[in-house]
Amino acid sequence: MTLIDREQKIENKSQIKNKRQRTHCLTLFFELLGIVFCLGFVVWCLLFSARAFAMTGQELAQKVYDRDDGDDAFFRTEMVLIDKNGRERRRLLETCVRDDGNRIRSYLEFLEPKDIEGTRFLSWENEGADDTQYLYLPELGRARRIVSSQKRLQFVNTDFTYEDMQRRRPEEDGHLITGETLYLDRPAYILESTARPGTSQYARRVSLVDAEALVPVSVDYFDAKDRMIKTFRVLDLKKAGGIWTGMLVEMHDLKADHRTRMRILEVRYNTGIPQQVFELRNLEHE
Amino acid sequence: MKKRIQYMMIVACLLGGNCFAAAVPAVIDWEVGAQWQAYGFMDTTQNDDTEDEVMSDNRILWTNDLSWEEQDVFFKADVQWRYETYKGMDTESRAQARFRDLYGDMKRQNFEIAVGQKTVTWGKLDDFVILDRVSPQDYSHFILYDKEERKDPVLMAQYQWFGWEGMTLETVYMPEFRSSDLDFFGTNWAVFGHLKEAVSGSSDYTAAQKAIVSGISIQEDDRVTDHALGNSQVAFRLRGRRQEVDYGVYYMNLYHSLPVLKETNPTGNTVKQFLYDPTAANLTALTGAGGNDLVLTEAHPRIQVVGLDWETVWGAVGLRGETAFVVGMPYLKEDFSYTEENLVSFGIGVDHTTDSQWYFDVQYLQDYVFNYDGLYGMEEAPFLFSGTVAKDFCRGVVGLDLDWVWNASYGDWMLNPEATYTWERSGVDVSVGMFVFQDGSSKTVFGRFDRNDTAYLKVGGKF
Repeated sequence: MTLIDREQKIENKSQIKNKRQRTHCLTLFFELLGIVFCLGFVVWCLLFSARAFAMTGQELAQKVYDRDDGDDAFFRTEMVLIDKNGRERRRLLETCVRDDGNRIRSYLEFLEPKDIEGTRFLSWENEGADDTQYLYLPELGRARRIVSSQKRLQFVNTDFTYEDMQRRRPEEDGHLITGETLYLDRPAYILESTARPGTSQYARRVSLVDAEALVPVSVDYFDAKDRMIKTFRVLDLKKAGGIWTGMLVEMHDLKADHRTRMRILEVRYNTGIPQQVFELRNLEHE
Repeated sequence: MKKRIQYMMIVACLLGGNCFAAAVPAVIDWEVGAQWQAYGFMDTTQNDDTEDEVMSDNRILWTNDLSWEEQDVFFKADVQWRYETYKGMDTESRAQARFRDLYGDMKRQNFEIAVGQKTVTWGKLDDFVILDRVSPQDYSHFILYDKEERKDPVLMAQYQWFGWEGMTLETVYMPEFRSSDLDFFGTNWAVFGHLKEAVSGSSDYTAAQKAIVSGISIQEDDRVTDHALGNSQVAFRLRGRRQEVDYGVYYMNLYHSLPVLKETNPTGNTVKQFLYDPTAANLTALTGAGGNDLVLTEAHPRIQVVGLDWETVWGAVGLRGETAFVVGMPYLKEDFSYTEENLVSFGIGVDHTTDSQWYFDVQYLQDYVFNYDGLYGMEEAPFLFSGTVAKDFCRGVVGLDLDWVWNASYGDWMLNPEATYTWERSGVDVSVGMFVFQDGSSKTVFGRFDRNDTAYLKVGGKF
């Protein structure tokens, strides 16, 4: 072995050693980075989720139920029924809602199209009992009591059932917060609600509840066989009159591939809608 | 003259309406609309030459709703033009233009007053009259139209007082009487059909017999149709809600709107016997009676009605019912003489919609005639069943509907299947259907028309 060879060998060893040292340093750096990242992630999770896990699913559901939606409200809404081929049928309706604390009453009237113009619907929420509901059909000339316990029935051929039109009390479901996510670029809780047997057509619902507005902005509905059968989406959430409101919502019946899209054209809260609006005499008015 | 003035008023309204609309103050909202209907009816079997093979009924309704929201005042003026044709041995037509709803309405916190010509819907049952007696009906096409379509508006003052917990006291005062429309001769749906044409056009009858049959006439009772204070009618309804039951209590003092034939002389009963049972023997008896005065009168006796209706839900079914005690109902005895008896009617209805959106409705109705001593075409306690099966397809674009009635006491029945297609964008509905009337004797409601099975096409729209 020549001197040059020996020196070269020493140099090579030194290079290998240096290389190993660099590699070790890099490894350490990445390990540290990983630890920092993991810790950061844990801290982020803990910090971000603190809000969620500070309350139970039941409490969140109660907050959603109790959120401020005004003492009364008026909506002028465009309803579009969209079939699987994309054909659209447009309807225009007005809705009034009044919350008297122990009872919520709502009144709905179709203004367009002509063939269902004048069809009206009145609903009184009864605590601990089925709602009292009346339907006025112009061709019948009088209001008719309708069965509210049949929650599966479609509401005037939309993708909303009568159950979807009613407020569901939190105690009727078991609720669990399973995480958080972003929806419409806003933080939202993932709330899983399991219906108590015999209380709903849906066995399970997975909702995204807007963390600030406390409005369910997305709901996936599951049947008894845990198949997703419907979805509800808020496509535009805004504050109107100081109250968070889903200005554009869509219900999608996955089985029939039929959608009902509702766009609020006009909304007014807390205007003092008189009680007479929610009485039979108004339903049967000319 | 009266009719001519009405035509002129309607034309003036039509021509001047839009001009006037521009002049209406901004505080008044004037909503103008129109509805049109073209109905074609075809008799499925040509039983004899006198029958109308094809009938058409075309209507245009021009609606005007003026509302002054600040004052809670509302005015309605609807004008209808109607043109009917009857194509059989001869082609005949009837045209009519008139105001339908024409009234003003004022609402306040605790009461509402409406004055003018309007329609009232009372009671809870579908398509049957137990308590829904305020508005007369047009039976000129029998029951080819639903009850609400058959109703005619009448002049009235209607006052509603709104009390606590949804309690409402409603008073209707009608200053004059208007009969339900009914043809006695000359159409497929006339009470006595084409009897006169059948006799006059047949070679089986003598000239004397033909003269007698053509001489039969039925006149209105002027005493009840006169514009006299004594012909006023009143009706009250108190509505409320107890627990989960909506109820109404009624009292009515009014004229019976469907006419019953009353004899003006002893020959009258023989005339009625022939009209209701047009056999050769009865015609011979009528000829033998030698009557020169073959006039019958449309009797509309004053009746008093006390009644109750109710409606509730029980589980997954809707329940409703009506009961009425009627004093002075007009009937014919078995010898065809006119009589009045007291009557109790009650009905109960049950409806249910399945999860797959099938709608089922069944009604049971029962009458009981007091002091029953034999009546023509009326048992002491007859009962019937009626119902509806319906379903919408394609989210209401297509609708199938089957209405049925079975007169259990007499054995006659009626079926009315109908399919409807709706073009929602253009607001046009097209319906095809049939009326089938079967069995029972000629004394029964549907047995009387068992040769009148009818297929129909209805086209209508709103804009």
